[in-house]
Order: sequence, then structure tokens, then C-alpha cells
Amino acid sequence: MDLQRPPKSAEEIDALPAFGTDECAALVRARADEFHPETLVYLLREAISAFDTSLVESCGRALIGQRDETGQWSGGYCEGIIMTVARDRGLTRDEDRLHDFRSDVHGEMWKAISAGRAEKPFWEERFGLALKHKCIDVARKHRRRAQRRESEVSVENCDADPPASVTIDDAVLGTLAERQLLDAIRNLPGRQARAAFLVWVEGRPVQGSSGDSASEIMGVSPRAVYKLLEKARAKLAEHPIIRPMLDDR
Amino acid sequence: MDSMRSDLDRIRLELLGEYEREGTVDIAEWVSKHPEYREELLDYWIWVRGTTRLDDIEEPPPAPADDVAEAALQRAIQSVALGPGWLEDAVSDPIDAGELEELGDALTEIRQKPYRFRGRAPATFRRSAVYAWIAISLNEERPRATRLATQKVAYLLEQGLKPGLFRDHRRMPLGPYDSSAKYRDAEPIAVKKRWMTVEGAELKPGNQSSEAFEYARRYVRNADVARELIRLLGQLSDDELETLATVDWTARPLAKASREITPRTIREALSRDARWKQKVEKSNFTISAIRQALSWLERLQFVEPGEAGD
Repeated sequence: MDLQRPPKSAEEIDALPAFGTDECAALVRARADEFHPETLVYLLREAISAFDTSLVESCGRALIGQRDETGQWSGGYCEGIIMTVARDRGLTRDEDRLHDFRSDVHGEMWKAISAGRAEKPFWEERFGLALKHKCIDVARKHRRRAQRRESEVSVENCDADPPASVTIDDAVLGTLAERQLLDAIRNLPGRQARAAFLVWVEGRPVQGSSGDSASEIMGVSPRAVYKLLEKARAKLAEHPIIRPMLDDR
Repeated sequence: MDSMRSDLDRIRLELLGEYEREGTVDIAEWVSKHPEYREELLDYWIWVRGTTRLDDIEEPPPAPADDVAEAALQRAIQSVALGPGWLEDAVSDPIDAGELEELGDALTEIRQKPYRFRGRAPATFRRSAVYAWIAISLNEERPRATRLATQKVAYLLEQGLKPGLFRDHRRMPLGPYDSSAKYRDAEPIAVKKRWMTVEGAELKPGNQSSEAFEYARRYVRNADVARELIRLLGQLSDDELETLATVDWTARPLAKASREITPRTIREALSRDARWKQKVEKSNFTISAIRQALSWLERLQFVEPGEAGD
């Protein structure tokens, strides 16, 4: 199978002794921490095919990193990406949700690696991108689950309010407000979310003929978009921070 | 179905790749290039926009000092020797167990009461309104409402609430399927009434979709409970719905014959069925996928507690 591996990973793989030899196993065990993640995924898949659990463990540890004496994770290629997406999507505020999110991302990552290169080639081509993609999918799944518990948009779901006693630069407040709006929009039902996102976040016109209006992108009539926006506005208006922002839109 | 999903997966990865390179994406271009995945790409972009690009990650928040990563690695190592089922169990349940149990109590209470529809609306009209409502509701819960998902949810709604509307399902290659709903009444009527539209295998809300619910709520015995059931089932993929409906269908005669209901006995029953024996080769009919389906059915009280397990 012809994969577009990153050049450095391709070099590492080319330089390996034949897989299955003692020489290869010794080299991998000694240098696993130095390999690029795409090389580690290649080795993990070879080791899984050969039922070599010891090599799976060596490469797996290099991929996920190590816990130091204080219990913190260091090294590896996973936690930095997982925790950054978790922070970006507001999952670090709740310990239990963060735990479930990380647990599912790690589980899904191993499923993808075990699925093999024919089914999931991208993990050997751009590991970071594949992992981030998986993080986003898991975060979406978790949000849908949370939506069922919180039947309407709640303040808890959005970033903390800016403290009233602190003067905040308008630009910073603008960024913060946009993040809150986006976060609240992600909580809306699918079609309302799409309409609100395109019009209020991306600033697209409801109708047009150049292909970049909300109605054209969504493939519905302008009237349908207006109706969806009306519904979305009614839901979001319950949010004290979002309400004034909608007045300008 | 699998190739469609991997195609979509590849396109979404390409979209993410462009975001990582350029810092933004013109979603209008992507939708125009791939109109068949319009909703999926839009939903994905709503989640990607604003994330920190990989090259910009400098100081990620520290990961909690727990055993999450270690436990996942250990499962991966075990799966090398024991099979991929060990990995499937590692991912948390897409449906909250407590919510399912609550819903199971409500469904059982409703089923235990005698029911006979007393209105004048013909059965074909009622089937159509409820079928359209299911499709419309699924559109709110998942990226796309396929006919397969709508059919399976209609089947499970019948098992859960016994409204007497969807009793014509037969064993078809992708699980219980009611062909008369597609050709004879539910879909043709719903399309004519503009409650929904049909695009290939996808069912979308029509411009009179709210009317469907106005009718449907009268025909499902309890609209709130029905809506909750559809909402929870809407969290499952097509494959999971196929498994759930097929396992339910297969478990019922076993229960009637007072036979043990376990993933193993379900797989044995499938293997003996000429139409469904090939299912046991599919990834959504592994022991652990069936175990998961039985656990949902048990919580919904479709399968009597104590019978499911393994």
C-alpha cells in the first residue's frame, strides 16, 4: 500500500532492520522514544500483526508518553493534542467530562491503530491531524450526550462570565463573546446551529446567488433560514451574555 | 455504507488539513465540491473553527494524573492476544444508562395499559405522520436521517410503545425492514403532504414538517415518551441501529421459548437464519456489539431483565 508518509518517518522506517528480527526488536526498544509518531503507528501495526505484545507495549508507551514521579504525563504525542482540543471545546471545566473525553479518545485511537493501514491509513501519514480529528468527533459525541441532559442552553455550558469589576479591552471581550456565541450555537439542534453559525458567526447573507449565502450553503430556501434563525434566537435569548450580542445581528 | 463513511471521513480530514495549513476554511467551497455531505461538513466545520492549530500548540493544559492513557494502552495490549472486542469495550456508551432505564420504566408503564386507537384517521395516514415525524426528529439528532435509521427507529418505537403502526417489518439484509412504508403508504403520503423529502436514501424535513408532528403526537400513545425514545435512538449510528433492531427481533422468539439470551445465543440464532447468517461476519455483530445492544434492550425493558448477559 502506497502511503504518503512524512519524509522523516519514511527515513526512519527505511533504516529499520527487517521486522521480526532480534536486531529490529532491540533497536525499537532502545530508540522508540526518538521515533516520529507515524513511525510508531507503523511499528505498532506490524507488532499487532505479529502478536508481539512486548513491542506493542514499547511503542505504545513512546506514543502516549510516561508518567513522572509526581504522576504527571510527559513526552509522547497524544496528551498535548487531546488536552488542547479539550480546552478549546470547554471540556476541561468538568473533571468527569474530561475523564470520559480522554478515555474515549484514547480508546478510539487504539481502535484506529488496530484497524490497520488499509482501513485507517491517515494515522501513518499525519498522526497529529488524525488524532485531532478523532478528538473533535469524540467532543461532538459528548456534547450531543450532554445536550440530552441539559435540554436547553444553559450558562454552565458556556465559558465563565467576564468579571464585572475588571475592565476588559473591547477586542478581548469580542473574542470571548464570539467564543461564547459559538459554544452556545453548538448546543442548538442541527439545522438551527447551521443557520446561526453561517449568519451570525461567519457573517454570511441569508440569501444570494454567488453560492456563499447561508441558504445556498444549507441547500434550503431563504425563508427556511429565517425561520431557523428565529427559533435559534429564541433559544439563545435565554442566555444573559448572548442576548445583547443577538440584538446586533 | 462503510465506503461512504470512509469517504466522508477522508473529506473531513482534508478539510481539517486545510484549516491547519491556512487557518480558515471557506465552507461554501467545500459544500459546493461535496454537496452530498453538506450537513456533515457544515457540522464538522462548526466544531473545527477556532480550535488551536497543531503548529500553534505551545503550552497545552496538563493532563490529569490519572490512569486513563495507561488503561487504554493495557487494553490495546490485551486485544493483541484476546481480540478487538477488548478495544470496543474501552469506549464509553453513547447512550446514558440512567436515561435509558428511566425511559424503559415509562415505556413499560404505557405498554401495560390497554390501547386501541379510537380516531377516524386511516392506519396508512397515521403510519405516514409518525414515520415522517421520526425522520424529521432524527434530522435534529444526527448528521443525516437515512431510511435505514428511520425504519429501525419505527420498528423499535413499535416494540416500545405498541401503537400498532409498524407491524409489517420483515427480515431483510440490513435488519427488520418494512417495504410497504417505502413504497405503499408512509413515504409516498409524507412526501405528498410535504412533511418530508426523499433524496436517495436520505429523508429530510419538508416545508410542512411541523404538521407531521401535530398529527403524529395523537397516534403514538405518549408523545413525550416517544420523542425521548427517538432522541436517544438518534444518538446511534446506522450500524448500531441495525444491530439493535436485529438483536431485538432475534431475542424475542428466544425469550418466548424461555431460552437463554446472550451474545452467543443471538449469534447462534443469526447463524441458523438463511437471511441473516452473514451478519455474524460483520463488525457490528461481534460478541461485544451484540452485548452492547442487549444491554440497551435490557435497560429499555424490551428484553426481560435477567435474560440478557453473558
